[in-house]
Amino acid sequence: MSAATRTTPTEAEAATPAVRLTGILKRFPGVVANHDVNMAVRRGSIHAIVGENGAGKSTLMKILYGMQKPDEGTIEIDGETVSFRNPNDAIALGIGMVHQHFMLADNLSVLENIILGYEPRLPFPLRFQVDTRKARTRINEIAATYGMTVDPDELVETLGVGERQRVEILKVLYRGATTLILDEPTAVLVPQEVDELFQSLNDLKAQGITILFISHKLDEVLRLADDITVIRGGTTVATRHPSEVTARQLAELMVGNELPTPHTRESTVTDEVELTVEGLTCRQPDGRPLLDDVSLRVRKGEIVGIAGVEGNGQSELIAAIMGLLAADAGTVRLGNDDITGWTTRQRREAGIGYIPQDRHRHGLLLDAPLWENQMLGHQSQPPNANGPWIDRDGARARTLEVVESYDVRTPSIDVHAEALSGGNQQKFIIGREMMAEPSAIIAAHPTRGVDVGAQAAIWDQLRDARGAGLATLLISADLEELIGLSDTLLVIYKGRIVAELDPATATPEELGSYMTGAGGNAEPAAVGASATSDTSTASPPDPTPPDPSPPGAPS
Amino acid sequence: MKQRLGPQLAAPLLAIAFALLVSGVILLLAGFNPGDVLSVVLQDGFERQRLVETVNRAGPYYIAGVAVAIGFKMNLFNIGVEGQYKVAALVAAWAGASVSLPGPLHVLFILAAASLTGAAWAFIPAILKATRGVSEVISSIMLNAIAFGFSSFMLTRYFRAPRGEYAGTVGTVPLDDSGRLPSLNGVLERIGIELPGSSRVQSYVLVAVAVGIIYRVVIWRTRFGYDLRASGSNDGAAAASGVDPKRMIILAMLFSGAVAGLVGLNNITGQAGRYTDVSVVSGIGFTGIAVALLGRNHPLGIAFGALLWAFMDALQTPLSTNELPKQITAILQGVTVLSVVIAYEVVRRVGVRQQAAALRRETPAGGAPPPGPGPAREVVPA
Repeated sequence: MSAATRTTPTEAEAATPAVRLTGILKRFPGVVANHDVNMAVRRGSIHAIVGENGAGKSTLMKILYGMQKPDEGTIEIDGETVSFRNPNDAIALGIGMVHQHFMLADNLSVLENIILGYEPRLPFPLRFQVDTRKARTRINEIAATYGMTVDPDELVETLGVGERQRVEILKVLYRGATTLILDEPTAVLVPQEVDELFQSLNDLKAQGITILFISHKLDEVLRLADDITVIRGGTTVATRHPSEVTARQLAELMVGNELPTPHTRESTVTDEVELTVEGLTCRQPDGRPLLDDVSLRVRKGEIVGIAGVEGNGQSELIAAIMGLLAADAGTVRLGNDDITGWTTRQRREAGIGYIPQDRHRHGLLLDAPLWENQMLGHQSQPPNANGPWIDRDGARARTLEVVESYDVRTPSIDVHAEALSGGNQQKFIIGREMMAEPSAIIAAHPTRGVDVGAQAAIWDQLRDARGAGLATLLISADLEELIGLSDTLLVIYKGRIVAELDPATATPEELGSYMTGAGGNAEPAAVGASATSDTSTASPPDPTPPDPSPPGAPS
Repeated sequence: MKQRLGPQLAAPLLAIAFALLVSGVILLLAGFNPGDVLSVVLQDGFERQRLVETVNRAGPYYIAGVAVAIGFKMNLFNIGVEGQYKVAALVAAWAGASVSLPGPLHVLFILAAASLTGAAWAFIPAILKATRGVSEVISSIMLNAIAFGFSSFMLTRYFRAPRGEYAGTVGTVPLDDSGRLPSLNGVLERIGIELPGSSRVQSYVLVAVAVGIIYRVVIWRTRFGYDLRASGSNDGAAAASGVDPKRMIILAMLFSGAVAGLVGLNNITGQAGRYTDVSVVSGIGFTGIAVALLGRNHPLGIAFGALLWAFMDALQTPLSTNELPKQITAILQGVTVLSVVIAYEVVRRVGVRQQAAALRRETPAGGAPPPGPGPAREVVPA
């Protein structure tokens, strides 16, 4: 909320935007990642792009950086329509990208990293030599202009995360960028580093640099940005000035105006607890918790949904329950068995089914035929195995059953898994897990990237299994899915369960604010229009006060 | 993972044709007539004697190829086959000469000793990789050097036959006849194949056939083989399915090493009957890598690769006698491997592109579903 962010936005409006995207459409096999994207970025402003994971932010930025070609639509830079063949074209026009995962060579110095690929050369007879002096002068110039201090001779491997990011930004500036794209730059930073970064970005802005800032942290966006564009479902839904919008309104824009009413149905929840997680804690090597004292119970016939912005501990929770990540503290129980120390195979044999969040990386052998994929995760049990031997006939018969019962569209069970569409791959995985008759199942983003038809089918299958007494832990970023399927809804934020909600009564504001860490405190990151009157502000019509239970400490 | 041989053969055949072309150009540049070389290959290369040599050489190549292929099947590069078979052959020759057992048992004992030693030597890079993440390429290539030093040290110090008896060559005590495999000449004669007097078809080629069958059955028909192939295909999915990655690394390396141990026994259980620097030749482990690449890890493909390699080796003698450069066979072998690797990559990429194009056509234009992150490939800017 610095004064810098309050510059009147209207006066620059008339000028040609630094970047203008019109009608961008990008299609990947099976999904449309972006469509009808329209936005304009003013020169010398900080423009934030917010949206849930999977909303299409990253693809959009890759299009702007020349890493992906849009199928339709135009990109204008300073009023000129351009077409990028590769990132070099974008760099030539002054567009630079700071990636979320740094692309630095650890064993080179800061200077060497910055000039890599753009080394100044000594004059003719020594053309093969790098002109280090020239590079150093240039870097010092840039560093002084933008107020970013670095030691050019330090090895990158000795730098902290914040300093590395500074090197990345310098690298981009060194290449002559006047428009910076920062992909979730604060995801890896601790709060003080975030403050430093924001200071640097404001300095850059003061020098006329245009900044595109991708984030899903609303409080940060409101603090920093001059304009905020919200992306939902692959398209731009609104652009707002931070002075005229609250975190809650942004959250609502991000997740959609209205949530579907849950299907009326009888509860099939029983009293029998099948999967119990108690006090589960996992730490990074530096002691920062990935999972912090997570407890939950899933009963037979119950679907427990976990909502949360991605990267808040969901993957670790799944990995810990599956035995792929060792817990530092806490227990996991299946029925009456304490399975905390069990191997993944023991857990799977005991009846935990698994629908992984990334089917290509964790769910399929893409270069293997379907019938071999059907065995995956169940290769030690009948009908797939017979002692130490593979039971080919049994496995193939089971695969035919899966393909038939779960409507997997495939010419045969001998085609490779990669030949199937995303939706059919996912239906196949769900069929494979369900046919093994698990007693509990971990379903992570079960309908991500599948078409609408497959989505409906998968939802029906999950509901049917619930009716048959399956205990389901559903992790998803799709609120419609979570609210439509769950019997109990938990919200995870920074590795902690911060709220337990009833999906029948939960409001999008409530969910949005818990998920973004804005929940709990009565004035969620209030950047209200009337900053002077704190108490008398007429809040938006919101009958339900936030759940009083204390959430995780908001940043 | 399932491998059909038909389409898979197209790429290597094209590659061999390409390799022949390149070799022809090289011959022309060097001032030789490629036609002369070709006529030698066609006339002398298929003489009985050459074919016998081809089969005898192909046995060890095949076993080495299988040993390497087992590693390849789960993305491990066991470049240490070379050292594994050297050490294994020495220990097996010594152990075999130190016991007296009835015929078949004696041979089996020697094979078992070699397998165990090979596995033990392969266990070192395996445990280093599983516990410390040391690249098996580096550790096993280093162990090759150690294996050479270690085996010559052990041979001269402890395993050497007493001086005098076998003056001249340094080696182990010869095996009893019970530890040796007979030649196949008798069997071949009975089915009507006459061989020139000096040639001898080693029955060790049957051991290679057995290894191929074991490889086929274990990798494609057992749970262990499934876990191994799954790990090689997608280690993340394999781990999620319950495969313990560390255990799998160790087991795969042990299996590979056990097969590698058998590579150097053809002369020990054959005419030589003892370990010497001549009876156990060097370099077969590296040839195994080429052979596995040629055969795409397929049991029959490796056999094809081993026979082709051995055939080209056997050409060296007739080429020299005709005063043609025998080195051309080495060039031919090298170019073949390179072009096979490239041909497969080209075939694979064309396939992927066609598949993607087909999928794009099927994707409906409108009706955007909740979009997931596309399979966007991360492109690192230059």
